[in-house]
Amino acid sequence: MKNFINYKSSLTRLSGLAIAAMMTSSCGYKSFSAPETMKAIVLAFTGVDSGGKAEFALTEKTYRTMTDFNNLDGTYLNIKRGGTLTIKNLNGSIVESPNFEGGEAPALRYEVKNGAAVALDYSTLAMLSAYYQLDEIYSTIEAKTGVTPAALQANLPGGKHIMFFEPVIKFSGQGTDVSAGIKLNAAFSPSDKNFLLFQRSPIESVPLSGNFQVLTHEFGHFIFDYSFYAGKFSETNRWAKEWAMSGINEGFADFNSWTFTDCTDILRSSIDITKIADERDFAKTTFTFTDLEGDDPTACRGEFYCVGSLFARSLYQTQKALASTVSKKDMSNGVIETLKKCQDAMNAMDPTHMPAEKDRDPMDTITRFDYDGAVTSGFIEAFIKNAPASWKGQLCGAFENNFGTTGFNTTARTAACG
Amino acid sequence: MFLTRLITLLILTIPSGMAISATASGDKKLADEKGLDSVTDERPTDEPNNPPGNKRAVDPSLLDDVALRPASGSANKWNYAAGLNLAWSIRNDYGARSFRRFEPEAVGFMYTELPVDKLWLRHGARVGYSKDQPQMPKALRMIETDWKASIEEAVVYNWYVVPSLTFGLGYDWRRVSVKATPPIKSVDSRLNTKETFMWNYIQAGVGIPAMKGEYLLEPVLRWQHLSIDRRTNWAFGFEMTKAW
Repeated sequence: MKNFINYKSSLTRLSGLAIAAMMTSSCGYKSFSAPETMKAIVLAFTGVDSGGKAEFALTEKTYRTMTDFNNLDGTYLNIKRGGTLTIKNLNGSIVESPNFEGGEAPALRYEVKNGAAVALDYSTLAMLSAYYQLDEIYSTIEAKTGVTPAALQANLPGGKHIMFFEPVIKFSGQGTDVSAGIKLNAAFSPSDKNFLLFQRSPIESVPLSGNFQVLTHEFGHFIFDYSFYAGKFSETNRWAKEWAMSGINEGFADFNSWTFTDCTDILRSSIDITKIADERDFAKTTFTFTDLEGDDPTACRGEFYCVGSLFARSLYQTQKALASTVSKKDMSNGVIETLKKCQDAMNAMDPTHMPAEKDRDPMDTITRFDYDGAVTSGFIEAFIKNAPASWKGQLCGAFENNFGTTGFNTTARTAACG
Repeated sequence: MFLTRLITLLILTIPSGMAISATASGDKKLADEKGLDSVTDERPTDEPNNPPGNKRAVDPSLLDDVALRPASGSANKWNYAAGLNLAWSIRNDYGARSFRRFEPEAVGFMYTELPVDKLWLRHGARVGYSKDQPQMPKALRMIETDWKASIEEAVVYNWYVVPSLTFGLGYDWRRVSVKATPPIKSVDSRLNTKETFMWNYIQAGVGIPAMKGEYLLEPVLRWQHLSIDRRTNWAFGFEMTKAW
C-alpha cells in the first residue's frame, strides 16, 4: 500500500511535468521568407493549340511589378483576401455600387525551392497566380495595345487596383443585405477600378482566378472605362444604364482578351459548358442581331453578351481583313482611341440618330428590340465616323453583316458609310 | 527541438505507466501467494475517492443510471479505454468563409486516480487521418493528406457527467499533391511536397457515461495550434470510448 501511494504520488508529479512541457512548447507560427527574386510557381497561359484552344501550365514565372511578396503588393495591384463586399447589382461582370469592408493580408503559405515560391495550399496558389495575370498584363500592355501603364494608372484611385480574393458577397436592397453564394465569375468595378474574384467552384475547369483569358477580359472593362467613359464611370450615366451598351462593353472586353491571347474562345477553358462557351467564341458564331429578336432567342441566350459578341466579331473581322496593313496592336490602339470620342458624339446626336433615353423593361418584345437596335445603330455610327478613315470600308461591311438593318439601321449606315 | 521534448516526455511518462502496471501485477501476485481471490483495499473507507473499483467508476454514492460506477469484483485500479473521435476542424480555406474538414481519430486512454475527490488523471494517445478537401476547380486541385499523432494528459472530474480538460502535443505529417488536367498541360514537380510540423492543443469535453461508465460519449471542443498552418485553430468532435 505504501509503495502504491508512492507510485501514485510520483505519477502525479510526472504528469504535471508532462503538462508543463506541453504548455511551454512553442506556440508561434512559422513566418515565410519571400524569395530573393520575385519568383513563384503559378498558373500561366502558354498559348493556343492548333484547334484554337487555350493551353496552360503550372510553371515558374517572375513578377515584374511586385514590390512586397507576402502582401502581394506592387506598383499597380494589391490583393486582399476575404472581407465583405456589398453591392447593388452585378451586371454581367460589372459590379455596381460596391462597398467593401474588412479584407486581410493574403496570409500566403509557401516554401522557397530553387529560388521560387512554391504554394503549400490551393488558396496561396490561386492568389499567386491571380497576381501574376495582372502583372503580365501591365508588363505587356504597351506592346499589345499601345496604351502605356502610366496612362492607365492615372485613372486609379490610390494609384493601384485592389483585387478582392473570395470575399463574402452581399446584395443590398431596401435596408437588408442578402448574402449570395456567387461562384463561377470574376468581375470589375468601374466606380473604384477594382477587381473581384468570386469563390471557386467545382464546376470551373481552369480556375477563373488564374485564367489569363478571363483576367484580360476583365481588364478590358477597365480599358473601356478609361476610353469610352474617360475614366469617369458613373452609374447615373445614360450609357451605363443602356442594355445595348452593356453588351458593347462586354464585347470590347472579349476583343481585348483576344488582343492579348490570340484566342477568341474566351470562356471554354474555365467554363466548359458547351452551349455557353460556344456562344462566346465570336470567331465561330454565326448569329446576327436579327436572330436576337424575341423573348428567348435560341440563337444566343446570353442576353446583352450576344450584342457584345457581334461587336467583337466585327472588330476581329476588320482586323483580319486589314491584317497586311493593320497589326493587332494598331487595331487595339485604334479602337481605344475611337472609343474615347464616341460618348461625346452620341450625346450630341439628335433623336433621329439616337433615341431618347427610355426604360426598356416595360416595353413589349418588338418595341424593346427596335429600341436596342436604335441604340446600337447610334453607337456604330459614332464609332465608324471616329475610327481611322482607312478602316471605314471594312468596318461598314462587318457591322452591316453582323448587326443587320435593325442593329445598324439605314439612318446610321447612310451617315457613317455613305 | 520538438523531438527532444517528445523523447523527454515519453521517458517521463512511460515508466510511470509501467510502474502502475507493475503495482497491479504485484498486487495480483500477492493475492496468489496468499491464496486470496482478490487483494483487499486497505485504504481508509471514508476516503471518497478510494472505494474498490473497476472501469472508470469511483464514487458509489452517485445515482445508478448516470454515474460512472464501480463494478463488483476484484479491485483493478488502473482503467483503460479506447475508441474513436469523429472530429472536424474549422479551416479558413475560402477567402472569407471556413471549411469544416472531417478528421477522424483513434484514441486510447489510461485513467489514474488523484488524491482529490472525484478527480482523475487521463493519459492518452491519439492518431488522426484526413484527406477531406474543400471545393476546388476540376482542372486544378491541391490535395492535402494529413496523418497526426499526439500524446496527451487530461484532468477528468467524475460526476453525473464527466467534464475533462486535456493538453496534447504531437506531430502532423502532411503530403501535398497537385492534380491537374487539360487544358493544364504541365505541372512543376516542386508543387508536390511533404510537410512535417508540430501540433498542440487544449481540449475541453463533457463526457456522458452509459452502462455504468463502460461507454463514454464525449462532445469535445479543441483549440489547436499547427506551427506552419494558420488556417485552423478550432475543432470539435464526438469521442466514443469503451473501457475495460
